[in-house]
Amino acid sequence: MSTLEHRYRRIISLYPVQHRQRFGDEILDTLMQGSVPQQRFPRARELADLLWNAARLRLTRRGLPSVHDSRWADAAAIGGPLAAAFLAAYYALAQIAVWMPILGFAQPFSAPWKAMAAFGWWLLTVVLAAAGARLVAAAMAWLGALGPLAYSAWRYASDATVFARHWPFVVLALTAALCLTVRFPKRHAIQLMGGRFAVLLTAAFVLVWTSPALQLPLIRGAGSDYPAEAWNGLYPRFLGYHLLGAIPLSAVLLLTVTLLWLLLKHDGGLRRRLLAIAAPAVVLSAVVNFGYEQLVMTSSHILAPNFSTQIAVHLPVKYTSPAPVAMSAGQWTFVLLLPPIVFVAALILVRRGDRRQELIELGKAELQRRQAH
Amino acid sequence: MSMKDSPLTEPAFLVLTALAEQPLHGYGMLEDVARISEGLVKLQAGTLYTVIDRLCTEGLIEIDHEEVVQSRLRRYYRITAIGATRLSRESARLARHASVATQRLRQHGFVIGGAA
Repeated sequence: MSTLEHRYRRIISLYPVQHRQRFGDEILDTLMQGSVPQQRFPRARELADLLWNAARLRLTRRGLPSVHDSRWADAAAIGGPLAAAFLAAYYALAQIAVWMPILGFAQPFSAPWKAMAAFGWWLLTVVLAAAGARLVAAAMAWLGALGPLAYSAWRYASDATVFARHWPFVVLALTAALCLTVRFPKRHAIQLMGGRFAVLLTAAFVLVWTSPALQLPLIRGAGSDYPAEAWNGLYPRFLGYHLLGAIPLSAVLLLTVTLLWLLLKHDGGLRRRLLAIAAPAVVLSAVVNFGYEQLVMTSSHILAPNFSTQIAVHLPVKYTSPAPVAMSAGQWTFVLLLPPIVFVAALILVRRGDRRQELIELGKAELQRRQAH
Repeated sequence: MSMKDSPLTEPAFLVLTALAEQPLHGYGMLEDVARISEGLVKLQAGTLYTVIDRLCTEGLIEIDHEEVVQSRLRRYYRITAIGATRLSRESARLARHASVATQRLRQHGFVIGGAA
């Protein structure tokens, strides 16, 4: 076997097994016939074509989201409003940056009115989606995704960290927008979840949304209108201080439990798809938070970054320039490519899970058939 | 419009056209497609076998015969009666569109096959 043939075989091995078994030899024969003497590597065009078709075949065989697959439509019906509700929760909790230095924010990241406007926007999106005005909610979600994106672009020249900080929420907003754009019947999410559970989930979200406001009586009870005083001056005699963090934390925990329940109460097919929908934003958020510190350092020139333990260890960053430091090409590539890569990986897992479930069901049916005989 | 009535993609149309003359193997199809399209369409092996898979599934082409060359399988495909009918319909459809396009271009003084 020549080196070229060996390399072609390795590429062909990326195809799904059915396609490989049926056409593998023929593809190899066609490629070898088209090669020239002394050729050792596949040509770039045929390599790209083989890789593209292998990926396409792998994804389209029950893996790629399709509007014809009711499980994806079901997941979108639940995932769209949920993503919007999460964004509302994020902006509601962002008020803590203003009201609660306890959470470790030395200064608020954004002015309260921005978070409040964003909270109102996403709250309205959730209400519209729940009421059945899917297309209006989808339009609001698309605009809601573009807003932080435009703001990040505007601020990028002076502070690249704004982009890194907002990007996971832009991805979550795009997730909400895409889900709400998928056609599904009115109030489909409520029908899928069940009325009682929908009420419970709504209550959990309402608690999270309002938790910053619930802390105000505690601060006032300590004799101050300013949380900074509660933090700095009144701490020793302010017993309610301990409850400040506990209220939103409890609300978030309650919401987490409710969401876990939501995942467990549905079958594996829907559960896998809901997780796949959430995966890009969740993973990106974790990665950006993890790699965020070095970006702040490089942008602020606090000190030369120690890349040894950072996620972006191999990404070159300029940090010697006196001007604000922009994200490097590597960082851009990383944050832009991560969401689609995570989604594709999640799709592969969804497909594997579906196949495993099918095999289990087939096995059960066969067992029942044998027992019947 | 059912799947079978939907327009053929350009690679599928060209593969059917190549097989309308004689049974061919994969590389033969690639060469003939390049010849038919005067070198404008250069199909790659990956795309070709995705098209062949689809055309086989739809019953438009089928295996004619197989041979082993240098210990590798070489399979020849031929167009089926359904495939010939489909190609005929598609050709007529494209000819109608081309005819209208030509007529309208002439009406507006454009030179056919060249710049305005």
